[in-house]
Amino acid sequence: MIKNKAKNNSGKLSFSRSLKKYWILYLMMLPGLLYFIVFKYGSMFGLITAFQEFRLTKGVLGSQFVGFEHFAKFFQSNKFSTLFINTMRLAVCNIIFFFPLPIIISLLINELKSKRYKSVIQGVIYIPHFVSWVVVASVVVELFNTQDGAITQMINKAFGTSVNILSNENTFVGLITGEQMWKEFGWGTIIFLAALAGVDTQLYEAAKIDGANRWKQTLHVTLPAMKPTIIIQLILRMGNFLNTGFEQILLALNSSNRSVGEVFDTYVYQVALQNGKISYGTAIGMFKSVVGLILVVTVNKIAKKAGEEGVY
Amino acid sequence: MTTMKSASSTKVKESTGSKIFDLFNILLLFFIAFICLSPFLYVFSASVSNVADVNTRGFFIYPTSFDLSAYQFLIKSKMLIGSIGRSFLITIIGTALSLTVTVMMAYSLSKPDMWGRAFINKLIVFTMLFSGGMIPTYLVVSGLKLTDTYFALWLPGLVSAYNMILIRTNIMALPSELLEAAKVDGCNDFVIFYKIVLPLIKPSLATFGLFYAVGYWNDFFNATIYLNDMNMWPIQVWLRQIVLLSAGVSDVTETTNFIAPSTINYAVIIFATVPILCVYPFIMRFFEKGMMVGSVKG
Repeated sequence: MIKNKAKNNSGKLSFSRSLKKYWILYLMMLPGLLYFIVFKYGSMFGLITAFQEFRLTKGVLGSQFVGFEHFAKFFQSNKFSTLFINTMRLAVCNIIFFFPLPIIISLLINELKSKRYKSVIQGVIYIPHFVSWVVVASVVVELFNTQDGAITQMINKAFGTSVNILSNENTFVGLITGEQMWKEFGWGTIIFLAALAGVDTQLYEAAKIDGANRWKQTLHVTLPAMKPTIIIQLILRMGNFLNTGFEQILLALNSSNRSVGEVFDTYVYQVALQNGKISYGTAIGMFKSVVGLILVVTVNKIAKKAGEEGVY
Repeated sequence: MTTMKSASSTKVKESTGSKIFDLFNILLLFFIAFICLSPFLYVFSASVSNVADVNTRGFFIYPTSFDLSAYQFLIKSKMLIGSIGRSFLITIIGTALSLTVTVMMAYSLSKPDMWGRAFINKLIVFTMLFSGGMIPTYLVVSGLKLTDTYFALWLPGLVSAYNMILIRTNIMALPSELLEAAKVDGCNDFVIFYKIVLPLIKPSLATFGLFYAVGYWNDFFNATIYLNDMNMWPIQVWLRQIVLLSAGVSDVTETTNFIAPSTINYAVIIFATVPILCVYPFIMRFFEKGMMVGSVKG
């Protein structure tokens, strides 16, 4: 995309000529550039607190260095394996129960014949994406709390008993996955529907002439057209598996489900900002960031090898 | 879209199985859309019902009684009504700031022959792959003395690298003759940006503006960690305080003495949801165009 646009200007300009020609543009990018330098790179610089015993009074530059002490402490504690297992459990459930949903729904939407009905359905199923996690968590509480939850009331009436799903080790993963399904399945269809919009109509015509019914057309035309998108989405999801929704989990955590619900981000928040162990929290956060980087880079390489466009 | 065209162009007689599937499909998607909407219908109906109804009717999607006392309480409560005003303020200013900085950056990085462009691009893409994380960002924000100001909500997420790159792709796809003609007419880069580029990328401005607005309106975490003064809290933080923390399902570390009548919860949820959903239908028409930009990235 860069190359074919550059045909008018052969090659790049030297610094002084570029400055003369584009000084207005350099000024225009300044606020954004400052943002990236101060907040993004500034916070990366702040990672050195992971190797220090951070004291607020001494700041990042003055605190005493302790090397890898915090990392060692974290890996030796049993917290590491708990957090890892909790994250894995949520990630696996997400891939099994959430991931196929937008694919199936977009296949169904694609089969709709009325264009208007189709856009109404799309308009409606995108709505939950725009609602905050605080609202989702609040609605879930209003529906399922054991005192007067709307759905709990009905279950109580029908069965005489009900399960507390909000403060329960056994239902936590289901609760989180269910919330994700409700909030994001519609939004998730966008990318698959975009892939389907690009399918050549002639393929369907040809399949019809060959006597393929609609199920066969889906199987042999639609699904193969979606396959690259499905694969790249799956790979991306795996590259991001450490990123379980932080806000969502923070809002659903309580003392009864913490043992299965605690993940890296929520633990960092608790340790550093609530208990004041800034350096220890930073070290755990840094471990997560580094593993995340390695995963994404690896996954991107795999995607490119598979002949797909990478993420970056 | 594509199957529809082909279905209408070749009028072959449809099998009964196919017709049954269509009917089933229409009903199934209706049901799925209903699942998306029913929690909103319930919360709204409950917010305008009387307490007795809410306590006995279970799940319902239309009100059978009419009682606005929750809204009356909410409007009288300075804290709540004020927090809604503050959420509007945070969202409007934040969106304006983010969109301005993002679009200016996207435009300035759209010239292929500019010195330093490739390097700056790499710098930005790297931030999408690796970040300092929550605590170092917190140290930067508090180091800059931004805590207890709204800049703590606006600045840490001012520019989304992803949005910037998509807008830049959009700008680079504009017909270059247009921009060059303006240059020949003696317009400088800023005038071209303002008079020509901005009107042409309206669909992406609307789409990404909505994304930023949703982010600011829905944020509770930044407000929780950076705003100690509860007179500054936006509606989302109050919602969490009222529904989640007082209900005892979330760990209470920050407690307040707020005792709410039981249907007030529903009214607060409505206030925390409706404003951002009101923007959505207006932007939807831009939205599909704007999203398409994303699908042809690179």
